Amino acid sequence: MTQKTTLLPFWRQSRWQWVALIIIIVTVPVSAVAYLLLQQTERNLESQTFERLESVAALKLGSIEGFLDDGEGELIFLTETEIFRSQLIALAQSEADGQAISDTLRQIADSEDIINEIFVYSLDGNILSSSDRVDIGKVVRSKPFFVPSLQGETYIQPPFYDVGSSTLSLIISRPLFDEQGSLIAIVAVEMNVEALSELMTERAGLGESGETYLISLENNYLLTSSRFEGYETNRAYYSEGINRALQGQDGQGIYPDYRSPGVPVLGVYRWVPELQAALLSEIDEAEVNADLNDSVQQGILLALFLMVVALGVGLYFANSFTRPIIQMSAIAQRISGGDYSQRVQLRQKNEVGLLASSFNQMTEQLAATIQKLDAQVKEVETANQELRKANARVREAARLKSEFMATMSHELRTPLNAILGFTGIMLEGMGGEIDDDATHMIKRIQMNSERLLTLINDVLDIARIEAGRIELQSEPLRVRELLKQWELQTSVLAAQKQIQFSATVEPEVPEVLYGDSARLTQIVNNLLSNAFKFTEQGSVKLHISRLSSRWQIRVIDTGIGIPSHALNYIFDEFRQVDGSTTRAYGGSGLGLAITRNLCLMMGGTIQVESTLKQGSTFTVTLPIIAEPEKLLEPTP
Amino acid sequence: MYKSKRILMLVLLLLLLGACNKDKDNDGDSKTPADTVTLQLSWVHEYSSSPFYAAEKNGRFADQNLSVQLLEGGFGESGYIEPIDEVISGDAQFGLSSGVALLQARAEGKPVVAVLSMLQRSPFAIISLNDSEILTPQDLIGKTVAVNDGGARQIYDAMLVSQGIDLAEVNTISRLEFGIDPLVNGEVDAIGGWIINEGVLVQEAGHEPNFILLSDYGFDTYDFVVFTSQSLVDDSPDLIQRFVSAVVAGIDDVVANPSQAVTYVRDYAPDLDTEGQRRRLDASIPLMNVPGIPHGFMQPEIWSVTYQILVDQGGLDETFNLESAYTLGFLNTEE
Repeated sequence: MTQKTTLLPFWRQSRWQWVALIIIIVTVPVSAVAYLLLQQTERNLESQTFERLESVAALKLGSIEGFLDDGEGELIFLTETEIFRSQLIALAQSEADGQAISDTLRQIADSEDIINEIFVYSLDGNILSSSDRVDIGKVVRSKPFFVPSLQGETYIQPPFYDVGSSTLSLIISRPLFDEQGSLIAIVAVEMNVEALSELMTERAGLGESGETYLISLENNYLLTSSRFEGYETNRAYYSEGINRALQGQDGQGIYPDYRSPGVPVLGVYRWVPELQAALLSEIDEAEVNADLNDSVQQGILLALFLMVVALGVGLYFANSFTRPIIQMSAIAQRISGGDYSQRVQLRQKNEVGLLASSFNQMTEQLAATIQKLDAQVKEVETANQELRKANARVREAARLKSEFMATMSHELRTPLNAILGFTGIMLEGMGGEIDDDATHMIKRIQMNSERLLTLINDVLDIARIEAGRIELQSEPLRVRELLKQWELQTSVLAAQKQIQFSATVEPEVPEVLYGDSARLTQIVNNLLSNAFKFTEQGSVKLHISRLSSRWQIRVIDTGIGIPSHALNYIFDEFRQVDGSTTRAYGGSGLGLAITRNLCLMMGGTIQVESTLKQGSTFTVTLPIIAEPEKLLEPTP
Repeated sequence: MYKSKRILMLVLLLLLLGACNKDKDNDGDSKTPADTVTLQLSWVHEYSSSPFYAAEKNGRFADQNLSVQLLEGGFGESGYIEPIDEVISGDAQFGLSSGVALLQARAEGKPVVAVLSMLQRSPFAIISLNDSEILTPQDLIGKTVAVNDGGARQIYDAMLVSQGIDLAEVNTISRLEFGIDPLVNGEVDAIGGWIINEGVLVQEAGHEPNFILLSDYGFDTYDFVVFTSQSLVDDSPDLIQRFVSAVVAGIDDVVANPSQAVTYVRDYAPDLDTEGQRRRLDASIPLMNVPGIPHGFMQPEIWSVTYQILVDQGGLDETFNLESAYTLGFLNTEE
């Protein structure tokens, strides 16, 4: 029985329910707060990063401007400084050899990192001289910068694809005017894009993965070098930031960058109109989130730690709650198993302690009550046993009494019959002449013997009935014939006492009934003999009637009647109305007892109504028993 | 129950409508069958034709209700297959050629009209090995140079003349092979070719190439032009318009997705090396895709330059009507 408590599935055990509750109470708010804090941190980190990228982008835009200004400055130097200016004008006016000035141009170009080549071309697009001799004689008429460069102002040609080198070229041109102010030639520099790359790849404030680069509108080509390996310049690259900037938009965002398959970056993008290019300043999201990831890790660790603490605390509290309950439950089960010596051992002073002490009190009272009950049950059982024994003894005694009486009655009748027999013989004169006195005495002997025999027969009947030795017959009775027989027997008695006697039967009574004719005769004789016995004048009536499924035999007299107090016991054995009647009227006092017993045995009843000094009516009610055979055979 | 019945009815109705729609589509197809046209390529199947492959595979032709047959070019049983001849004979409705060749053909009385230019920048160059130190046209004097006959040779000659070189000083021979073997083997000092094709081949063969770009000397011509016949321009401008639109869409596709374009090239020419085709395509995209110029566009200035070259060379009469040789009418001027 005690195992049943421990067999509860753990989710039904209040201990674990408490633990779960405490864990939830602790971790849910902590997680929520941690989540909000992390989001805040993330936002802060992002906005800080974007601010940093914005300032880097602004810085780089400044660098680009400076770079272009330097290029223009070189052209101003060439076209405004008298020594060069005069040579260039001479060249334009075909007074100088392009090859000769080429050396000068090369020296200047070589001295400047930001410049690849310096060249001078005529207004019809022929290169007159160049720091690169190979280019002398080439034609720039179809180059994109040619037409704009003739407008008379400094012109910056955004990077364009140079078919020969398969790279992007960045050209700045400046018109050359003669002393009269006429445009006579164009001086141009091809800028060193690698120098621009160096400016872009200076990565202060961009961490481990940050970079700044330019993407040209020309074919989406990477203009300045990537900090990552495998991404060459003069190759097309795409990203959300690149596309937006190339559409002329400035902005910032988080998007996969150009690296295949795309690394998410925080990026700031700017459209640079001078270069027709996109400036991008980007840093890997992973790097930005690295700090955040640390925070996340710490948060997770903290949450785990809190969960463990909550588990411990929860278990401690839950145990302190459930241990006494489990203990009490186990003890309650032992008590229900019959061991009342169990007590809960608890020293807690809270409600649980109170419950435990109440529990103990209850157990004690229960034990006392049960002890008392046990003692009472034992007493009752002893009494019952004695009663059973007494009962058996009583029954045995009754049986012995009946047996004794039966035997005695039988033994008494044998000599009595002999007396009666010889008395009869003597009265018939077969034993010799007897005088009148003797005859009178012999008659007295005969009469008393007959009374004794009747008495003995009654006693024998009672005995038989009580010993259960009477078996009733079920035979066809012709009620009306029986009635005539009874009338005949009784008419002698009626004539003797000069009392009117009538025997009637109602026509509803069936012709044939079933029963024991001898015992019915005995019942009727008893009732009639009583009626005549207690009636001095008037009448006695015997009447048979039918009452639905029963029939009744009624004996009505006009005798002395029975006092009402006696009606209760006149059917008891050996009782007459009072002791005096026995002596005055004779009889054993057994007749009515036998009659009643016989009636009961036949499934019937006997009742008496009587009025003192006016008469009595005895009614025997019996069931009409149909013959079994007749029931089986339906009458046609 | 009632509700579910209604839903069932609705679904059935939608299915029925869908079926009807399908029928309509089919009807539409059968009512106006696609116009079948033939394009004669100027070379064997390779990266340079990838815009046509893209137009076919991406359904650009089908969008215009065109069924286009792409005829491979190059050398046939009877020599080089001349697209101009194929179009004039009516075997093809469209062809590919160079601007120079088209002007000459027109001058010779072959009624051809250029409708779009595949390349915006000329890739034509005199290609030599770095060791030969041929850097300027002057360096060609006394050297042997193999140049294709036709338009290429015209421009080449014009360029030499413009640089003050007597044509007799250079041993120029006809180029009869696809490859670069004569150059690599030293049989010739230089060849005329495309830097995006032969130039890449030289690099792949492990040599450093030198280029003398004709465009650097002012001979910036259209080298890869789609043309048709004057009769088609007169009779079926709508057909030409649809064809040009589909090809321009094909160029858009190639520029936007070179990887896809290379797989299409492989579908037409399975023997070609994917990497090599990708390198050539990457190199040619900057020639097709120039900022500020719509794909397939043609600039009258460049046609004028070509015309002038030919006039200067005596290949054209000054009375030649340049405007008859090309039309911008089918090109969308907006980028």
